[in-house]
Amino acid sequence: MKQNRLDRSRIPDPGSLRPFRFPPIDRFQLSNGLPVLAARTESLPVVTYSLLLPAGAIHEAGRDAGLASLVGSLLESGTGSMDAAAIAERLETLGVRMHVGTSWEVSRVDFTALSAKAGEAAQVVATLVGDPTFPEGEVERIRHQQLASIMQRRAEPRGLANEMVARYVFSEDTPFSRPLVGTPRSVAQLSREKAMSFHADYFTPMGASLIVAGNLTSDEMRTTTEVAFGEWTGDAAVKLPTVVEARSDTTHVVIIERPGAVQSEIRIGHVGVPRNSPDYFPILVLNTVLGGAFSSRLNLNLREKHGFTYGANSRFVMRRRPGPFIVSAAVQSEVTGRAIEETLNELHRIREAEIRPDELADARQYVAGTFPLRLETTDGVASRLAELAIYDLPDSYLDDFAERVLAVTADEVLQAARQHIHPDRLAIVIVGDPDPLRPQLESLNLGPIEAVRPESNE
Amino acid sequence: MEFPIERFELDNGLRVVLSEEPSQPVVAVNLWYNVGSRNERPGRTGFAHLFEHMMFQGSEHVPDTQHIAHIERVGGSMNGSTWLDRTNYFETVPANRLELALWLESDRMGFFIPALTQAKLDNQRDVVKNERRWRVDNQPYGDWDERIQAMVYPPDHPYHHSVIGSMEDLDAATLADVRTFFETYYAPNNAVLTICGDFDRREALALVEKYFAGILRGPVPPPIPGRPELPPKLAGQVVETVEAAVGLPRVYAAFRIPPYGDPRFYQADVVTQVLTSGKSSRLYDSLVRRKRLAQSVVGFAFPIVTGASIALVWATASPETPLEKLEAELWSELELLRTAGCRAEETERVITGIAARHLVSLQRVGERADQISMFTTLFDDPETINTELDRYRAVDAALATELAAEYFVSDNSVVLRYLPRSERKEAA
Repeated sequence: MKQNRLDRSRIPDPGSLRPFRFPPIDRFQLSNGLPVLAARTESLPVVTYSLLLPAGAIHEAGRDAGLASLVGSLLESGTGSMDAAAIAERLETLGVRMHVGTSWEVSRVDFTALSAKAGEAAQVVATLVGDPTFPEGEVERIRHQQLASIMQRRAEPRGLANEMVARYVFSEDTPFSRPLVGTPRSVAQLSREKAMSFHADYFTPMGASLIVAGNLTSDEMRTTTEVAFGEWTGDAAVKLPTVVEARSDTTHVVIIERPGAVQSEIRIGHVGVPRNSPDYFPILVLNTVLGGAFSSRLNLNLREKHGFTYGANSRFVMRRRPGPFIVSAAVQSEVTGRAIEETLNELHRIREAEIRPDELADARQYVAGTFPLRLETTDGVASRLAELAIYDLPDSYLDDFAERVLAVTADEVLQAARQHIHPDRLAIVIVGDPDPLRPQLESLNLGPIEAVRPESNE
Repeated sequence: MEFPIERFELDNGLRVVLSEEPSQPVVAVNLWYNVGSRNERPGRTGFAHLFEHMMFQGSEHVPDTQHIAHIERVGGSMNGSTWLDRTNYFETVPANRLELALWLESDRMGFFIPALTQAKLDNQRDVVKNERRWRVDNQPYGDWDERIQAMVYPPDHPYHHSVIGSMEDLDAATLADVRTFFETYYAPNNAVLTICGDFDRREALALVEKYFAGILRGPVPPPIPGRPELPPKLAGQVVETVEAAVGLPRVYAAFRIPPYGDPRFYQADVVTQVLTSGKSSRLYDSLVRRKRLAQSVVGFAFPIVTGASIALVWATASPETPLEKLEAELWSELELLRTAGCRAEETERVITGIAARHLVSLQRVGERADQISMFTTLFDDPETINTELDRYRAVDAALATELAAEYFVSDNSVVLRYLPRSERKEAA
């Protein structure tokens, strides 16, 4: 009768925890000046290389939106003696797939390889990044693929909602208002010449950083990176001034019409904060309480209390410059008005009073405790090193992270909410069936309501 | 690279597997219950998944919504998922919280019924219906798996219906159904518990004993409903064309293949990857790169064990490309594979990729624990995590070609086409 002696109502106590330490960070420079951040992990024989290039989409002229993405996709299209098919075979014979991630401020070229293949793979990738030939036929093919994927994304409610909320949060002059992949109009007039010129200007070691994380010795890290990237040259990237402004300083509602849709994809947002905000740690805790975890207020309200949605969340997208703050949920058409009302209530409530002590404790522990979970993989470690490089953070940031989070107070969270959440200047964007939506939105009296057809070719 | 495996069984039939790896101070707890949508009876499609949601709604000693809250507040992550053959529940927590995870999992394995209420069921029914709208009904191509399953498996086969189920059947589910399902399938003798990561072996075993040994063994679960046995191949081609709110036309070609675990399953998986995996694959090279008929190609084989599995490939047409043309080219590539055969360098490249991605994905303790639970549940052999790659390595070009000639043929296929729905007529 063992179970009778066990008091199941008692929550088990924690044992002692071996403290988590980030692996030592080795910073060095290659002979061409390219800075490297390296960290050795010792579990499985794999390693991730990640090259951060100053080739973000903010450097595109507005009419060339999508150019940075196009150049990224074209890196595997030809170099020296290898055409696209030969490149694919070469990489996949090594068990490697190269991934190019274009974002606003940097472009990131990553691959993860078995440690034994790392040096060879790094050499191939370095050639692809430094010396692409941009064959005319491949430029046209990839450009058409990009056009088609813009179309595919707009046919998909989540992708469409994400594109549209950016457009209605930021002013037209703000690059962040555009889709990263561009628009049908902008991509239609991209060319091989534009791709080559963007590559020459921004795919350069001057302003780039290289990250290596995984199971290699310090010597192997130095040798493989020097052999692959040490002779790569280029001029300093030209930095352009970038505007970040809101589209409006009052709340406005936009219905993106999708007749017959059985759900509304809701996005509610405004201009948020930059990554180097002095309120970074209070904001992490604030967002966790509001919508950053399953047990957040928004999810417990919209999902667990009302059953309106499969899930609701919020996030502050932080860049070097202010990214958006966005609440997202997909809700049944008939309850869209009520779901928006509940969301706005939560945005007001978190600004009105301090969060409860248990909410503070839980959120701090969640943010601090889940941080090491993302360091199980070489890719996860590389992402943290990339964060140091992109936002100029000191190495101590990684070891101090938990302590900083655990020191956040309820008052700091309240001040952060008051300063960084603005229920009076929201872009409320809903992709859904306009007929049932309109009366629900009108009765909320939130602001002007605009209806937009998504199929415009702009 | 070998992962250590230690296997135990409690008196109540719970199978326990430990795999220690202390490089990070985290531990994963993973439970597979040997029940999935294949066990649902007629009129209750989607029930196994709805039930999974109820497992997060509290148990006798854990209040509503607190299962996840307990894990989040210690800095862990938790979830569950339902598929055709199984339902899994898993968390990754800081190493000193192993006991908390075991307490939570044992409470819902042993003490679930007292916390059940109609209000919780009604709430989660709404959540799941919204999940269906989100994943399936409001998503371009969102019902492809539902349609393919219905075509590959006859109506009396347990894979004929989808995991998410129909709205009518979700509406029909009652509290009595929840109770019966729990009593039928959620017993220690129908589950596998895996612990993976940083823990002390003796301590972990003592904790498992403390929290799970007192839970009573359940009855032997009933046989899978319907007729799980079926002919190894389809009796001809089945074709369906759907007009829907999609951007670009797409064609799926699916084939009935031997179940996961059969040597021919691995051959079929290799064939599928020769066709679609990566930019060096045949269909990418031909349809996407050279002929420019397709925007993308995708393919995989389902790791499912009841009767027969599915291998499928799909291709999304480029704008301007008529779907018939893409489809015809897809079939001629398959024909070429059957007649001219796979090349050794192709199968070798695919197997190199499988091995590399396998190791990369197993960096996560949660992934290791899930695979160990899977191999124990499906094959009663946790060591498969260390040996499965050998089964892929046993596939050479000749075996792959032979398999393709036998199974990747139109007489054993299902074709599903999506065409963009013509624009709704609007009054001027």
